Amino acid sequence: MNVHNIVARLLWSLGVIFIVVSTTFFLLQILPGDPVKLMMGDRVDPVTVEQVREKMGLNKPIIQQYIDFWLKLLRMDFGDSYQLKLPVIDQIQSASVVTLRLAFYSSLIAVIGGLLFGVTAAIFRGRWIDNLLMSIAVFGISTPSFWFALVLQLIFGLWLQWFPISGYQAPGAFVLPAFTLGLRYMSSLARLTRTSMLEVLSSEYLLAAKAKGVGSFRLIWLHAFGNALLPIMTFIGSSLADMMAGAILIEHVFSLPGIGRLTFDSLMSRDLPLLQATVVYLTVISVGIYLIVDFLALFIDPRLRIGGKRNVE
Amino acid sequence: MLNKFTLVPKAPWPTDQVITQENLYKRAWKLLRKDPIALTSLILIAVLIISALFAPWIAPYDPNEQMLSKPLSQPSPQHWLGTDEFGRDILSRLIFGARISMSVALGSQFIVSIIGFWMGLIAGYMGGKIDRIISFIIQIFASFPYLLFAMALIFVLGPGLLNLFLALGLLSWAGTARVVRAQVMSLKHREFVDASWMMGASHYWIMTKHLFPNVLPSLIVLATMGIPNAIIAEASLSYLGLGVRIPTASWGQMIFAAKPFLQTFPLYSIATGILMMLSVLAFNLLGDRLRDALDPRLSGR
Repeated sequence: MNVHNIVARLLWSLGVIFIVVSTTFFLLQILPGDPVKLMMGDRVDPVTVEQVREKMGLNKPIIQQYIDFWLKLLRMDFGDSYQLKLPVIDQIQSASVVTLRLAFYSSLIAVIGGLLFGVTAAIFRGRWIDNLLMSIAVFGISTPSFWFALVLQLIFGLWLQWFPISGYQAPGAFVLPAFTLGLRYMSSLARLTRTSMLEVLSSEYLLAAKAKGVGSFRLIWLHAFGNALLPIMTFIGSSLADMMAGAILIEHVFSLPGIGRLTFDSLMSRDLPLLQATVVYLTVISVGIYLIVDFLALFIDPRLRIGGKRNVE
Repeated sequence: MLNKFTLVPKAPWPTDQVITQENLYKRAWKLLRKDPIALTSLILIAVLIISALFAPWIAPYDPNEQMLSKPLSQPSPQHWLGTDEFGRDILSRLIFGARISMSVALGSQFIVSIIGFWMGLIAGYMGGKIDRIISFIIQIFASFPYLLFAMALIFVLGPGLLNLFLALGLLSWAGTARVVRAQVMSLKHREFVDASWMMGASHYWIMTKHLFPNVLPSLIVLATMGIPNAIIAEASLSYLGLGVRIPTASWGQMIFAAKPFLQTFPLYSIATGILMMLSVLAFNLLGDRLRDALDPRLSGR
């Protein structure tokens, strides 16, 4: 991967962002319901409606609106939200703090748990501990997170009263949401890590390292794990991106005022500027994460740096 | 430049055992039949599909019949799982809910398989510019916040079964297309494809008669493994009120309805959730076993 490839990869990412954001813009135009009427109620006289429409630029032709939208976007101006009449950017900012914290804790649980489970299962392949860990993982990916969240709320919130079940300021408020959001990714990661490790563990270069007398800790965590890391990294990246959007349900169940909640509410109230901004935000984050993962892969796998082909499929 | 004129041997078939299409499926069936977990999952799935198909005959009550004199009643010989907040029989609603879950799961995976197959096939087979364009489209669909766009689509199209098929099907084919593309790229240089081309076969013939049967095992595995996601996605959308129209019974909507009664009548939520978990589990386990039997290359997905 040389400079040319890196530039191409960057342009590619910008292209993806451009298309997703544009698609959203036009998709939002066909959302049912007149935004002005929704904002002001049904009983407004038509003259006022027209005035507001003009003030918001909604009477211009759609192409003009589209160009205006991009010009504003490039200046990081998302406009004011219809409902709260506050700058959208402020709402996004305060909501993203909550979601980023949630995603951080969840991915911490997912990565640590998933890697530990996966590597342990691979080492003890076929024994009871492997079966136990993999059964947990299968249950983990099969449990609908929003239902599991409710069950945990019932047990730990209502019966045992260990953790709060809504809000985000009380101590321990993130424990249940992070666990429910992280569980699914932890389980998938455990399964992926196990497969990836088994592949490496059965390779000849590992046998060679073993024959040369490399200690088992070094052998597993340095030689084997290092080589199994690439698909694992890609997975972590994609699940992080997924988590940001997947937080919609968890934030709904736990009443957390995060990005997911904001997106859902703005969709339900047809708050177009807010909705558009949340989609831009989520897309940029997701594309950015994929980009970072690709560049990190260069550091992990020296074969990629000299322009060799990555043996993925 | 001697290379240009020498015949470079291509990756040969495993010579010890020729796996034809027919004995691949026979061998897979033999493996699955002996595996207790796969068999249990299959039976569970069969029960689900049969109860979805024959719901009106199996369910003890009309799922929408309200018996307002006994809302939220505890389990009894008349109502095995009790009644919900409108006095409707929970068991009957669960059985009818299986209809929605199963049809959305199967319907959306059918759409996913068709779009994913053709996109991957054309990209992998044609190569060049077309491949680059389709790969870009795949990349875009993979970067979409999936649940969010499903929500927006349902919001635009309105709730309903057909719209659920479309929203989930149109948005999640990228993974399938990727796998098909990679496989077709390696298949198209195999000798049987060359031979067919030499004998004057058309592109369409090669795609449908030679490439499709070779990709089919992966398609079956991917579709089976996609069903759990579709079930959960449908339930998530229904939970948020973006699924089928009320009062049609669906599992996600029932979990939402049961939320206020979590403490007073936990069975309502727990029975629904466990049924959903079991069906997702059955498809996940079957998917794993099918993958091992039909297409071990897909492991790690």
